[in-house]
Amino acid sequence: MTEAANTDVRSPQAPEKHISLGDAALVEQCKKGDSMAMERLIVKYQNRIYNVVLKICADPEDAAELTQETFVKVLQNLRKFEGRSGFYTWAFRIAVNLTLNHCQRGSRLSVRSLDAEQAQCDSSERKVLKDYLSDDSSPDAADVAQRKELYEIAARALLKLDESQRAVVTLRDIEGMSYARIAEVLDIEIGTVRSRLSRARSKLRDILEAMSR
Amino acid sequence: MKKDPNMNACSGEERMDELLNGYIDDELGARQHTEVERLIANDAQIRQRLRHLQKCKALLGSMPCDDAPPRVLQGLQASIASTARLHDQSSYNQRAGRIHLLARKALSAAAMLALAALLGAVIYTILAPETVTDAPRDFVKIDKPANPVLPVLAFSGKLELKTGYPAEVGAIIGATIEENGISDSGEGIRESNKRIHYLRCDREDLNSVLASLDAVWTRLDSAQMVLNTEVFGDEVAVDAVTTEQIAEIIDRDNNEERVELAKDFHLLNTIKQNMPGNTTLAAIQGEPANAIIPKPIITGGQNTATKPAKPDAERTIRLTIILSR
Repeated sequence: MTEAANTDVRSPQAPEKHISLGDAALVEQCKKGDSMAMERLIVKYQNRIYNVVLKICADPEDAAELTQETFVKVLQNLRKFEGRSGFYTWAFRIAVNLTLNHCQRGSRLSVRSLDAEQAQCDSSERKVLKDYLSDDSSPDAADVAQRKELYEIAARALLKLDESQRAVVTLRDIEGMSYARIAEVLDIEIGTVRSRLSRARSKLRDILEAMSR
Repeated sequence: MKKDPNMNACSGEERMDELLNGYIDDELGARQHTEVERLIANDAQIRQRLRHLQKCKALLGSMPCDDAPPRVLQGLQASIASTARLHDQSSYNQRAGRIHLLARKALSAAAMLALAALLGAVIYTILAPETVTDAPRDFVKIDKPANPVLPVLAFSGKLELKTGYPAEVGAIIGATIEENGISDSGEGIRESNKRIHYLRCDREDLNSVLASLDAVWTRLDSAQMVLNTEVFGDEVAVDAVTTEQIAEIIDRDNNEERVELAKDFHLLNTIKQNMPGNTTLAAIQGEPANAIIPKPIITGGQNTATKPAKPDAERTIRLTIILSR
């Protein structure tokens, strides 16, 4: 997959920065010691990486640190970067690996029962969620985005997935990566991506239904 | 790539979810896509399930994108600046190191060249033939002095003797030349009442010749010595010259002194010649007792053994004796 394809299915919320130079050219300039090119790469990807890291680790402070650590690693290893995968994929692989290691090491996210989660939803939230799930019309993301309660519920539901499931769902539904690119980033087979994503969404559906009751 | 350990435990429901998720994400092949569409159209439960999955996807996709806090970029900018400084410092150090190394190489090369030149000069001084060093001098004669100074004791001249007894005088001169092994390239050339000897000899041989001439000096009618015959335009003649004067002139250290002395003798002899009652012969015979030229010891006519020829280097006197009537 070419690097130009990294914006193919990005979510509409992902920030669009017009940078005329391609990643490969910027990387080459970075290798020659051009600090401006490095800065442009950081500006181009910092928000997207931060957003994915935050969705996985669920802690803004940790997410900021992990994002910074990701780019520091990128800086340190840029000379070794051979370009077999795109810079975008490589940077996300570093970020996701750092975040997953961080989550596993610190056990930051305690496993909470669905009952406890349910207890966190107030009646108005439950009603909004119940209406959303019971609505037979096709879901419209733009419409959903109008209702702040829903994506707050979604954020809480996402935390109920384990890290690997959270990573694959985030990369697909939030960052908008293709299955093939997710497989590259997570260094797993594409079939594994398919099954892991399926289980994650099924579990998320169960969580949401439980929360709506 | 890592295998999912739970992959084999995939149930039919999970397989259906995978297909539905692939359908939602547009990750199915054309055949699977058609099959799923057929299932959706024919099965309300599957349709319901699809809708739930779509709602999950839409819910997650609706989540706002959180921007990285400014401190992330600031921290990274600081890190980049630090790296750039290190890179610059490293580049500077590398450049300085290269310059230093280059300077050391240049100095080493210069020192090697200087040593090689010195060694070459020493070897050349030791091994080079002298003629090589002397050769250029022959070509550098632009500033040749008007009156060249001949080497010490080198002498060129001509002695013109006139006598009424040429046979007797000539025989004595010839015998002296032969006895002393003096180089005579003329070997007494006879030219219309003249006998010429081109002598090349050292001071000792000349003494022998002068001593022999002294013995027959009274037989001479006139004696004229001409100096610098080999230097064009610088000839100096001494009339009524005596053997003593000839010896004194030749004994001078350099040619300039010889010329000066010859001029003095010429003046003195001219005055003596012009004095009343004096003749050239009288002037010549006037001071026989003062002659310091040693006479050779005559060992007898039987002794015809000649001296061995001397090398040319020792023969610094070139004297032409012209004996005429």
